[in-house]
Amino acid sequence: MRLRSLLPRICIIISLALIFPVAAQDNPYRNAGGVTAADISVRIGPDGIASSDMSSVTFNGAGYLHKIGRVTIGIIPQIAGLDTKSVTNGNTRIIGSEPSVRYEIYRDLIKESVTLNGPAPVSYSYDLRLSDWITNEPDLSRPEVSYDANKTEIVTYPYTKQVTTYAKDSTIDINPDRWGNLVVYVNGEDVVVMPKPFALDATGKRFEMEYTLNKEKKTITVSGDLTGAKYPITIDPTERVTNGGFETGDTSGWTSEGNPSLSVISGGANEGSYYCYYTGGGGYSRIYRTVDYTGVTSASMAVKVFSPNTYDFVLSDGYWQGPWNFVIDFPGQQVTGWVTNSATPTLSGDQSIQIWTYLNTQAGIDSIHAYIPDPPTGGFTCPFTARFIDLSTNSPTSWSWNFGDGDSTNATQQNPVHTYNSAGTYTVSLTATNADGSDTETKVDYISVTAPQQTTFTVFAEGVSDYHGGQPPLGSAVPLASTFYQNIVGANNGGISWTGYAEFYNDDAGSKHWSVSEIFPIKADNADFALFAGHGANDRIYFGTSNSVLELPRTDMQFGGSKLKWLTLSSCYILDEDTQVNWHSVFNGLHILNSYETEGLLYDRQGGIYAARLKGGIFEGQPYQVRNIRDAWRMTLEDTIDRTDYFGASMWAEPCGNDYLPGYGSFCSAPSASIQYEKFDCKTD
Amino acid sequence: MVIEMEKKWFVGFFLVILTIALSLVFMLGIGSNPAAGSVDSSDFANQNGDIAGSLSYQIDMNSSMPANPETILVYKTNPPIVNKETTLALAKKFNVTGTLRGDCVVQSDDLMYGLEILKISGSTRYTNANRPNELMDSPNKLPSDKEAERIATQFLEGQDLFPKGAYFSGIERYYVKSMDKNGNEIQHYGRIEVKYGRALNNIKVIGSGITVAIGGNGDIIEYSTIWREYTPVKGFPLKSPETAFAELKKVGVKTGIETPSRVTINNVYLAYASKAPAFEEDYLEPVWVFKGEKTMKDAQTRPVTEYIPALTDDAVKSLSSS
Repeated sequence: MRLRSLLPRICIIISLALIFPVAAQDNPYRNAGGVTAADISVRIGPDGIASSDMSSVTFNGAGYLHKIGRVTIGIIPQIAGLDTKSVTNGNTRIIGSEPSVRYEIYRDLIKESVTLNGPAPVSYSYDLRLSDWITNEPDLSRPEVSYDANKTEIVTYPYTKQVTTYAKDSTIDINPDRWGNLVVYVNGEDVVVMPKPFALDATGKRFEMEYTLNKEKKTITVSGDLTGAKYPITIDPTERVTNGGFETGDTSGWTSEGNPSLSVISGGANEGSYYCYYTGGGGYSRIYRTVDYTGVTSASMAVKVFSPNTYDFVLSDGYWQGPWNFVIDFPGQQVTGWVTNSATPTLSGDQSIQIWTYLNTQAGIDSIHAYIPDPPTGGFTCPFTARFIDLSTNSPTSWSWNFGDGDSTNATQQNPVHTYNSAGTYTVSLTATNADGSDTETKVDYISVTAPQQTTFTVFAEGVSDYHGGQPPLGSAVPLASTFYQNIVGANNGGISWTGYAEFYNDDAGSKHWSVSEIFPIKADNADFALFAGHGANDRIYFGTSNSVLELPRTDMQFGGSKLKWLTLSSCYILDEDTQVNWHSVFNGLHILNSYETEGLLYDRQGGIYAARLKGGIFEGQPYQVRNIRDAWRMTLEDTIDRTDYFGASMWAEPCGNDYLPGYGSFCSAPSASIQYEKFDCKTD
Repeated sequence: MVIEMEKKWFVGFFLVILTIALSLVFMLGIGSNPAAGSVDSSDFANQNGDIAGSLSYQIDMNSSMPANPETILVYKTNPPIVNKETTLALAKKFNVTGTLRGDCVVQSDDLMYGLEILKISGSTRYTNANRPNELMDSPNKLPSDKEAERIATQFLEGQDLFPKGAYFSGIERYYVKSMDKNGNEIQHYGRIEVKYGRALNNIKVIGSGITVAIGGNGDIIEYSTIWREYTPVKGFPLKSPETAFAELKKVGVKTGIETPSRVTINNVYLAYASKAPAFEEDYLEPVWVFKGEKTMKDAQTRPVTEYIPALTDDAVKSLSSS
């Protein structure tokens, strides 16, 4: 008997998932943890060194060990006696002199540099033989605090309480993240981050260094061409801490003006072990230094403000405030915890980076970063991956797909993923079989693969805080939106990239918000995917402010086509009931997109979790599944809302209901105007 | 002399009136919306509510207070055990195969099926990304509530996923909808969530439970749990419900952007409150639950629920140090 209606249709979703290394999706400093007594150190012999053709430095086996969390990395600059002259300054150890190797152990990150005082191209190796990485870490409490010989507090964060042992058959993989740092994955989990190295010579000239991976030998070699460099040369793999952090324990490198008071404080830092305590000099005061901004696309600074004043705490490249290239603005309010803000400079070459304040504002400064994107490139092909979904009826028991390209990989799976390696047009068929027979459906020229192109999507995120003097419920909107934004903009999966804009803005009415840097035109309207957390009204939403230039009336908002495709709201305002009947305007439906009540904003980690759920990333050590947009939002609210009387909702323009983030699944490029929605409980009792 | 007396009386009367007026202004200012700052109405055209949400302090009690036990058994939260073995074992129950990440997530290569466990709480979730959909889960293909309950319970028991203390607590149906030009809702497809609550020490644990989502043809399309493991510590003294209610009147009832005239509490009971899955939990917090309704400006009512921690401050300190 022939199956009736066996193949009503084949649903195909094409994604641009390139075969590409999985990038670390969030802060790579996060996981590494610190030295623990339970780590079993592994002393590496000379066999792991690949230095014969690139180094004139004599290595002879004297090594020292770095230990990060559960992982021990042996670095082997084999110079006689190198490990016998240890100079300690805070967390910094300097060993040897010709060349010297200097390393610092941070809470989460190991930094190290090698200084060459003579013409000696250098190479050193990390031994990553996982078979030796067996550690028994019965960690039951965190963090652990210990003290070194200088009584410097060392805070150690064991990575996890549950995993105690890496088995010898654990898998190891090494891939670059979006910054070019190398991330070591153990059993699919990033455990060590090694920043991309570079070298600075005596004149400050920069030389790019490279990692060479040997996955088979589990070795990483750092090397580079230092031709023309003036000695001494320092190879410093600390790309992400280019101009701040104060981890040397002093404020060297900064020039002050206006008599500010500076002191380096140990403990309680945002990153590493130190931060700078800054007290304004009475009038305008500043500290500044020159930074090479070549290639820098964003800069960030972490600040907490102990004693605020009516004026701001500003990071800029110019004077106090004004039309300068970028301004990271911490307005005059107390900030009890570390807050990191970022801006997008368009600088090049040497520029002055300046931190200004006014009167006697007291604040902590830490973690001043300049990010140089360095997306990995190389000999990858860019195949297209298609996901086929079987929609056959009558419970078939076997499936036979013909993908049209002669490749039968996964052809007998029910819902196979198939990769097309060449451009062209392909006919696809499926034969489904059960005990009563089989049926075949063929779709001619169903797949069209064109040459891979760089596709850019735009993301918009906005959050408001401290409206008119500060109200705690809105205070979390900024980290919600900014974390979401940063995580999405950082996403890069196989040629798909996200762009966006960010600025910390203080409007005339007193609202402080994290918003687009170019307020004309408002980016949300043209974004592919937007998250809004802040004010709302019955006919418009306010992108961050009561300032009328930033508001977006519903009559101006467009949805679908080349305009906004998805919008997620965590808004404090429910639209008037009367407007809810008109679903043909997306704005009239905003009330079901929000988490319905102001307290939905209380949990500032929602942004990070949401972004991680959208792309199957990791947030705060927790990996998540890749989920479509509406499920990601529902699950984020279910995970974070602690009240039974709150609701969440999603809204989309069909057929976008099952959209994934581009690069992770299907994403509608031209949805229709038919609006569908779903409302759900965040928590039930 | 008479004139002098009248002057003094007049000045005194004026001061009394001034004091009353200032007091009224002060009281109204606090009572109406303590969270709101001064807002120039011209800044927010068409905005008729509070920006950041408001609180109501006009709270009436329309329920008798429950009996007040002297102590309540407090449970310490056990660290969840999440590792490769527990994750893969659970994935096997749902036939999920694919890449294991971080020892707590398994997702099929086609992204269709996934199983994840939150390391911070042990909460689990199985998902089927293709469900619900219009073809398979239209309203007429969903089973009845009773049938859904039977399917879910049978599934949990069959997979050894029905823990002690769990009980069937209700059914919720969620539909993807649209609305026609006349404002009538159209149901396209949906899922039935069969919910199982939890009780410890014969007291309800709010926020802890199991949810099984049923789709068309009675398929299990999602499963999630918030089910931390607990160890009893000992009995700790409780606030009385009257004391908790006095606290509630002090902190107010959250009313979102609404500005209700009154809140009426009509049910008070003792419960444990489990934190949301993304939070770390040290111990299971006893709370007094106040359920009621808020009366809106248009005289319509909407439900409200508030929780007041039930342990005394001394008990919390003692618990923290123990």
